[in-house]
Amino acid sequence: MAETKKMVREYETIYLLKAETPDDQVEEIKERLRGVVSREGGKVIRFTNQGKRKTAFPVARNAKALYMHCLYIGRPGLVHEFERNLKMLDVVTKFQSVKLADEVDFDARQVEPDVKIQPVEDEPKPREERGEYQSGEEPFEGEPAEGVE
Amino acid sequence: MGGGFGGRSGGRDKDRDREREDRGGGEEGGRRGFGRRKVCRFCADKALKVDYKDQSQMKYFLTERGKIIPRRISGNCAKHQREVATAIKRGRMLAILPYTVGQM
Repeated sequence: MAETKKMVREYETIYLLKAETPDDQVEEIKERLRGVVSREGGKVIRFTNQGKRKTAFPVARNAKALYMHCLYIGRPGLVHEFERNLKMLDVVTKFQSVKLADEVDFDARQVEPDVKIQPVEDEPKPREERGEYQSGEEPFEGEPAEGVE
Repeated sequence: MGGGFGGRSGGRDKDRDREREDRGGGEEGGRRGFGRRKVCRFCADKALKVDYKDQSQMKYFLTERGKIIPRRISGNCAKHQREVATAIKRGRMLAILPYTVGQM
């Protein structure tokens, strides 16, 4: 009889850490989460450290936050456990999980090395950004005037 | 672009009406730049995916105030506008995109 493939779902979670979190604590959290995922019968594909970035609004009274992205596969209950662990950590200020795919073959998905991205030095103001779209594509026309009472 | 914004202060409704006519797809007397039918960026380029993590891409669909730009102006098709709207809302939750600008 053919072996049944272990089908799992693919999820990603982005969590925000306080900007002043030391590197070793970031690593520690990473290992802890990896432990959680493997304990629940899942597999972490990769962690991505997206670096300290300016947030669109203050998060925990701080204008910057460290963005971490985690891609993993596992069974449905895993996300709940993953998020429960994030909630317990004080340095984690925000998190969000999204399901990316159903029916992923557990064994076919390979583990990838962790990535660290240098944060893009932000950030052009939206008004200036308009100018960039001139080639081939015009900025939006007839945009309603806002903020006019 | 030139024309189209003549009476900005008084003629907002007029502008809007004119735009609606344009969407009807009729020939608009050769006026360029205004009646051009916009195509959905995501349909035109199949490789392009809506990604809530991509701040620069998502910002294109927000006004300066942080509101979502309507489909009638951005030219997205219904499916992709829906995806864009969801992506923006996800981005907002992660503080990648603003809920509002300048009202702190």
